[in-house]
Amino acid sequence: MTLLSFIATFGLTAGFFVWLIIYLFVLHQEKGGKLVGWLAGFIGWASKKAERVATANNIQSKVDSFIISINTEVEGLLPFGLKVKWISPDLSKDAFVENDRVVVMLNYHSNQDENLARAAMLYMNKAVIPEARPHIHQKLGQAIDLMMTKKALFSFIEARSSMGHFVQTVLRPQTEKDTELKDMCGVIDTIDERGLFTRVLLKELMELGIRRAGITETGDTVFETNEFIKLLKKIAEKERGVDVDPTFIKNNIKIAIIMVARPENVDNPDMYLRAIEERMKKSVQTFYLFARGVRNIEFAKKVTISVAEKFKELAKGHEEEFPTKLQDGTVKNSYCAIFHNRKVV
Amino acid sequence: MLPKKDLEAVHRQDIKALLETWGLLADFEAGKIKCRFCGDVISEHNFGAIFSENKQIFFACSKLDCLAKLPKQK
Repeated sequence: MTLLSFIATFGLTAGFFVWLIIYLFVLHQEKGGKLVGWLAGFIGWASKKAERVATANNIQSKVDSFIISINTEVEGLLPFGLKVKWISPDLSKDAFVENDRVVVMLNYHSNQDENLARAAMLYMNKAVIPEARPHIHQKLGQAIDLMMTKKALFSFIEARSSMGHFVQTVLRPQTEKDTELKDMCGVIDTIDERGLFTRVLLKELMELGIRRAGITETGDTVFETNEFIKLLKKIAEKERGVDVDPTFIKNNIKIAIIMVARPENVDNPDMYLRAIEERMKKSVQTFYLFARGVRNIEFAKKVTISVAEKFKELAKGHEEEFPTKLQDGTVKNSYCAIFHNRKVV
Repeated sequence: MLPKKDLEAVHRQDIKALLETWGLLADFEAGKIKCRFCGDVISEHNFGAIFSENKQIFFACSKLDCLAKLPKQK
């Protein structure tokens, strides 16, 4: 009795399945073997596919969530997302060498730490301030990549062990053998704790890169950006009561950081308005108003409103509250408002 | 929605098949393939990346330190 005639006689009943098992594995074992082989092949293909999807999704979703959070600090800082594109093992050698390409190996999705560290590092290398790279010191570029990768991996709360993996296998070995890089990473760490890394340094470098696009670097801008980071370090390390001139006016970067603190029994923003007016006359392009602590933040918001009302040539670009770490390790809420001077060229 | 850029990747499970396609599997298994940056012999356990420059194929080991030196993709 053939398979089809059996189905026609008995239908797809339990008896049919018993008969099918006997037919395939007792009477015609070669057909049973073929079926098992085909099923195993299908399961293997499906599980390979599923493995790739799991590996890629795990990386893409985490990197995307980091991009969203960073872009709330500085719009457009990370201008594109990440898509893992698997290359086929059948790709020809000629096709591969035709253009300069980089293909990273990703491990099974269970090796999450390794995959995330690799992908985050390669992503930062491509995505963070690409236009500004010719105009900054190479060590500063390296330090930015390393610290942005660390920041991203730290933000992957459910996979934070990936940061430990990164620190142990990249950050520490690289900084231990390169003092200059270590110092630069240290500076970035300090300015990041005060909220100045992405909001001020990377924002200014991103804008500088766009303005200087297509212009051959002679070394002047590299010098300027190095001076700029020195100022940010001074501001970040400033002790209470110590004065640091927070204005930086050079060829490309023209900013003023106004640290707003409410003086005792005074609720008048005039001194800050005067400070801004003076700096506007000196062609400051961007004003960053910072404040720390509940009382100062409340006052800084009033200053922000007054600035917007008084100076029509200033356009308010961004305003947010965020946590910062002080020198003694305590965490305090901070505030930042950014104004762009429309009249400066 | 943000535009996406590709991160080209090969899965660990496909490495040997890819090297076989390129005729490099024998060299790989004989320990003749080395990291472009640190010179370590590349095996299945420390495979990091493959990249091409000036029509040549190079390999990088899995140390993130070496991966950090990969050329920037366009």
